[in-house]
Amino acid sequence: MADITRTREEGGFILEPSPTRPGPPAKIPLLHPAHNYETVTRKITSLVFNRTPSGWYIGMAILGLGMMLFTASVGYLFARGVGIWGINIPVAWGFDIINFVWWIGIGHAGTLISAILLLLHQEWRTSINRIAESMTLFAVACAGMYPILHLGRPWLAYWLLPYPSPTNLWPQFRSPLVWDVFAVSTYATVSLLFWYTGLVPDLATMRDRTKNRFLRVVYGMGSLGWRGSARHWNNYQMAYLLLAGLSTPLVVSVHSVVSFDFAVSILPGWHSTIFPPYFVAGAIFAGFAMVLTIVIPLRAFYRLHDLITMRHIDNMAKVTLVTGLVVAYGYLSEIFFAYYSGEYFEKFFITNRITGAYAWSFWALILCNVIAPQFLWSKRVRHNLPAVFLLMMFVNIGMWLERFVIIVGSLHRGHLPSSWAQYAGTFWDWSLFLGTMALFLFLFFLFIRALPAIAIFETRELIHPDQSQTETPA
Amino acid sequence: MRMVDTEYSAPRELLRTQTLALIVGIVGLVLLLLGAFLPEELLGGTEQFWRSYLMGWTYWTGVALGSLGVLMIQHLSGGVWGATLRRFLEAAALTIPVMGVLFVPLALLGLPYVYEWTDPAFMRESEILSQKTGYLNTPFFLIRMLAYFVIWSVLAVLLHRWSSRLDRTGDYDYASRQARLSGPGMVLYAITMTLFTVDVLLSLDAEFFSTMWGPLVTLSMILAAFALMIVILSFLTVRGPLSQVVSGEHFLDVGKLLLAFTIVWTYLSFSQFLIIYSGNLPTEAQWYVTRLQGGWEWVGLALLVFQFILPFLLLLSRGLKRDPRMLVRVALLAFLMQYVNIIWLTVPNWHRDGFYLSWMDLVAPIAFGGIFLMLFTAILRARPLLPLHVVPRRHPRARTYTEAQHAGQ
Amino acid sequence: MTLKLETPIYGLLAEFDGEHELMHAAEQVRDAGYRKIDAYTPVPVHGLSEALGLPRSRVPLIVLCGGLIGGTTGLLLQYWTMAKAYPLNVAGRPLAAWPSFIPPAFEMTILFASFGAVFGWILLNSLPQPYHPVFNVKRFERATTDGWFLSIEASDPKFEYGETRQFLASLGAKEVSDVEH
Repeated sequence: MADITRTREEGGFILEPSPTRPGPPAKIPLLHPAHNYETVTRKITSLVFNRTPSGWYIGMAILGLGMMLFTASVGYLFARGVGIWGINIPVAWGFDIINFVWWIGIGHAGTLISAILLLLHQEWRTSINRIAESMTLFAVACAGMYPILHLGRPWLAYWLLPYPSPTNLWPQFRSPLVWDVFAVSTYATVSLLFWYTGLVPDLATMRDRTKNRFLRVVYGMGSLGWRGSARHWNNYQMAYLLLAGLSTPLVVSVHSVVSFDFAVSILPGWHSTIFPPYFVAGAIFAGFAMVLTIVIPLRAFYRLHDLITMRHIDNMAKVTLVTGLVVAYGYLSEIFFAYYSGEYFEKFFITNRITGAYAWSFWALILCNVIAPQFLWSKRVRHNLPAVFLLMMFVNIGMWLERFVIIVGSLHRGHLPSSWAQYAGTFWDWSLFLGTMALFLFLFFLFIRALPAIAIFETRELIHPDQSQTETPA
Repeated sequence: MRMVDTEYSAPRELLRTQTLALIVGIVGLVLLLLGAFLPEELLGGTEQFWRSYLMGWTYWTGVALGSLGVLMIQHLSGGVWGATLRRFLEAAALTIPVMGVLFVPLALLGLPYVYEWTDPAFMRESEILSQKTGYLNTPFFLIRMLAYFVIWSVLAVLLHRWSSRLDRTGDYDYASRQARLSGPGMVLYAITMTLFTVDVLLSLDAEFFSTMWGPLVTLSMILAAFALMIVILSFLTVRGPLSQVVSGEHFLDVGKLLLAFTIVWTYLSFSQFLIIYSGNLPTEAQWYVTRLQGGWEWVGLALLVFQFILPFLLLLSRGLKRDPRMLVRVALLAFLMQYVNIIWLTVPNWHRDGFYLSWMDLVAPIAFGGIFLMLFTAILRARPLLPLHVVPRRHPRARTYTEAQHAGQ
Repeated sequence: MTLKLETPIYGLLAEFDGEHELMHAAEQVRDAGYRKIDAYTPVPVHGLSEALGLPRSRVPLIVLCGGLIGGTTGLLLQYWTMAKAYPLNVAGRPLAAWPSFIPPAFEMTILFASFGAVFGWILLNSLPQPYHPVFNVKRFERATTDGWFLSIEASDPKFEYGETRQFLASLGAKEVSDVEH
């Protein structure tokens, strides 16, 4: 995709070492140099075509149990209503919105990797973008479920959409919750289209390489009859680039709209103008942490070291560090402005956050999201896979806690002291949360066995004859 | 290919620019001083003098501070797109200590004319304001300002010095030192810039606060700095020595970044507005209510049209971004609109009833601009215009500006 | 309707060693005056569309139209439902609260523009098209792994079976195959 992923050297600069002094350290290549078109294609398609590893069956068995828990939780909710959860006045939004924001935030890294890094000519996105995009879809599926299940009468979810009903009622467009409907459904649709568009040429590869006639037909249908003709590529590349350009503002707008759900109201702790960028950074932070959480075991299990190199891990860890710092800035800024504002309610809420009934969640959040990522400054830590994995688990938990702190911590001490109350998730809150995690991984397991987990044609481009000629002689 | 050092040396014209800038700066300051003694009917006076002084100073200090931010971002992100701008950014950032000194007269003599919170009686009047005196008081304000400028000056001087040493010795260690400093440097920068923008601009309205303020105003400064750097790059490419080196690809890259900064500026501005508009709380909404009536709404509209819509539509064009003579106009527009932004942020605090602008508000940015550009060109001229060991490698298909000219494009 | 075949075969398919050979051959074939030609590559090749003389993609235009339609629909929908169809005072906000209408209108813009991009590239490529004559050539399955192909259709006015075949072979083709309908 010479047009899209321009090499760094085009119009770029390199640091030229002085003849006598040591130059910049050599960069790890993004792809093992021994690879050619055939080996790359074989390696990636083998993830699907090889015999199913026994570990996959074991994983699926465990996830099957999780799926049963998920089904039971949703079924019982349908039968009994949202009273089975811990929510009540004043904390009328509990696990459902926490988990909604958590999941959708995780999804955002997929779009970031596939779209923004494409626009920035970051070639290291290539071997992880498919995994990240799939993660987006599955995370959005989990996220999208929560607002609907929270409705009380989920079978009436279509009332959220503007359609000419006999009662002449329309959604209230001045409410951020309606914006959310538009944002999340657009996001799910566009992510699916983007993901599928990227998949089409690879499905054609699958079609042409499978020996099974049935699969040939299935992949053939999926590939729409792709022939890799110059006309195809001509329109395809243009569309792919434009989709990347459209997805970038989309992903920012989606999490901004999610933040508006809170910020547009006047509850101290929610009504804060920094929320949009701070939520977006938090989403990327959480998303990259989840990508690493998935990629590190996957890379070890399928021995993908030649495709997903330490440079990928290192770069993702750096992005996590940077977005983590932005998130930390958000926490600090809220504390500073609460005191700067001079307003009683603002000061009360921040004091309550730091020292009140849920202070444990705030300090755990600081540990997970502010202190833990600081280790990523060190290159040694970034190149130590168990350490990175552990730190990413901290971030996963931390980002969940962040939403808990914002939602429960603010709601439980509102403007009306007579309705102050504590909140805790019930068994069904936890079971549904665990259930969505199982659903997420279940879909991921299916994906790994059914579709090429790494973009094949884009990886081929890393060994493109043109590019190998202009590669930096690091 | 290794260029000979002299090919990048600053052109003689820059000396003329420097002299001219100095003259403009001195004439501007003299005019401002005269204005201070004019009666109010002629839109002059001491109060007006210090207010205009603050506006002009903030605008150009913002350019210096924005440059420091871009410089550090560029060291962190690998320095691919920024190498052509690096010397300009370093020169602009190195003016920070002098810009800090220029704040001293205002700090010593002018604060009561500008900031309402300097008056203890005013702060006692309201319940909310009396809570804020712990932060908003003159001694603490001065200590903070001193701290910010010391921090920024150290960063700017170190980055500038290591860059010169890299030129002289070719020792890669200096490049990695710059990158290593820029990480923690950006953390410090984010914190100090937030507090600085709060102190200098937000506190003009002692009641108003917004957590978005720091990022939004800092980004405005970065946008102004970046736009000015594009103007300078275009100038030195079309008429100067860089035409041998810089290609349309460079302008495409910086043009894309200008577009990105423009979009982010709009995104942050709109988010802040929408949240305050929807929340409609008195302490916050009054800030926008003042600015959406009595003629101020036209300033807001001008910002919307000329700081976002027009540059956005123009910068979408690939051809425009590649052509320095076109790109420079958009960059100049963005740069000038940032002064309108400064007007929008400051003047309505002093004139809440309706639109008001003194001629001194327009002379001040020219006066400070002269001083800034004089310093900038003096620093820039002392070294080659490109970092020597970061040598451009041209893409086989990319043509430099000179070659494109010969090809009749 | 029975398919009426005007030519005995669909055309000829030549396989080349690599990208540069294919690019070179494409230019030669175009310069020789052939128009009904196409190239098949496992990766997008920069400059190949120009070598074949293909027009610029029209996808951007479709995306622009989609975006404009989406944004306008979004704004009008909200204005009409909020201010005309069902005017309801909520917290004293104006009925036509334009700032609040921006987020949904923005999402609609992106949604329709994305539809334009995806359906644009699919339909402009005449996909879905499960059957195509070139699939009849056994070697063609390498086109999605590491095969570089160039085809000339028999319906091209300049097409002369023997001559064209020889011409393709002279351009350095590894193998030239007949493509059945």
